[in-house]
Amino acid sequence: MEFNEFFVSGMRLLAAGLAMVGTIGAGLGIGLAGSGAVQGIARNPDAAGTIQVNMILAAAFAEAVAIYSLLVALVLVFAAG
Amino acid sequence: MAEVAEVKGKRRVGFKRWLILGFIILEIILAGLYPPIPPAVELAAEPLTDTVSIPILGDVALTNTILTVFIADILLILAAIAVYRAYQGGGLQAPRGIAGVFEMIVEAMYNLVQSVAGSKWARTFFPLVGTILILVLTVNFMKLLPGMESIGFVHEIHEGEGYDLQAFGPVSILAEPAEGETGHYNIIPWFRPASTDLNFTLSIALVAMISVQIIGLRAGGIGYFEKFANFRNFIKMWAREKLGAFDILMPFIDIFIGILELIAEFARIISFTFRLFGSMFAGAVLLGVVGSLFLFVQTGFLFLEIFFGGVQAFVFAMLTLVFLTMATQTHGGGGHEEPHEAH
Repeated sequence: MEFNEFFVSGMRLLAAGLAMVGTIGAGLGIGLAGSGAVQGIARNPDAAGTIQVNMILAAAFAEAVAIYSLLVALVLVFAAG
Repeated sequence: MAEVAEVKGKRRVGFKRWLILGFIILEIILAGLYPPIPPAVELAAEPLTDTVSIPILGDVALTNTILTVFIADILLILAAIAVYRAYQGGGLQAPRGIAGVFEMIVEAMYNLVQSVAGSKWARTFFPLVGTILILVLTVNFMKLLPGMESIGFVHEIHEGEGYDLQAFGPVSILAEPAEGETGHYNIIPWFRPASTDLNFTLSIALVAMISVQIIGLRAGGIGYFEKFANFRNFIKMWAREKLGAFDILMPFIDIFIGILELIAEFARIISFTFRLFGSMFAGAVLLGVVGSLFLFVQTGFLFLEIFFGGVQAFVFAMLTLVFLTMATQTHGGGGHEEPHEAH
């Protein structure tokens, strides 16, 4: 099936925008990690160093999902012809 | 006394801040004369030379990301020599300059490795984890150098949109084509940050995950592979006289868990690869686009990229460390999974 050129490029941009919806989950995840870490540090300030390292790790795991969707969006906008 | 204060006051108004102010004014003038253009986004690394056929490897060309890795390697080797020289004299004096920086990084990293992996494995893990940290950190920070992704060969493109050429002294620069026209030139940059190339991140991820398997094998012996294919309960099932429902179900659950573990190992490679690549590639695109849209906002994004480069390098090294530690731990006492406890 042949599609109009403008239709295809418009759909590509729309798809890139929709791909970024995936960042909602990552935002929630990082927010949860940060909130938990701050509560932990408030309760036990001595453990701040350990908690911080673990929080960064957890945030990185959550952030990876956002990066995947960003990558999909970038590929859709720039690379997919 | 007054003189001393005056000298101190003079020193405070240093030379470097005028240099920075000069650069800012120069930037305003240059950006007014030659407006910055949005960058050409290429997902794959561009080859700089012709492809050469090598028997085993196939067609090979020098790409711009490999060039950047070579430069990072040379910088790190020079730094290593400098640090070695600094400690050559011996003695207990506090290290200065680059030796101090590296002592700080190495000490902090070693303490971290020791706190995660325990002192038994810390000396084994530290070289790998530290190398990954320092290499990825160097490569990520090289993205912030001026000239990255902006100096290179100009080539003519025949399809798609390009830019116009504009004379700028002895060199030519790209400029936005006139209204309603499409330019025909684009650039192949000589230097491109290596972590925006999938090959770089994939190779480090493979090194990390293969090391995890080797360490697991060293720690748990051949029993390490039981993690992936657990037939222990399956064999027990044949030996039993009477079979309950769980006795039939458990072996298959174990085998299924093994398959899941195997998939997880490959998922880790993919996740390692795309986390670093995605973050750095998006950062490079972001810097280029923001730099072409607003003049000064890019400075703020450069700080953001310093942060992200550091965090991603740290996360890469930390995850390697955590996976290595997990490989040594899971099968220390893994053989005691009695089916009775599951009932």
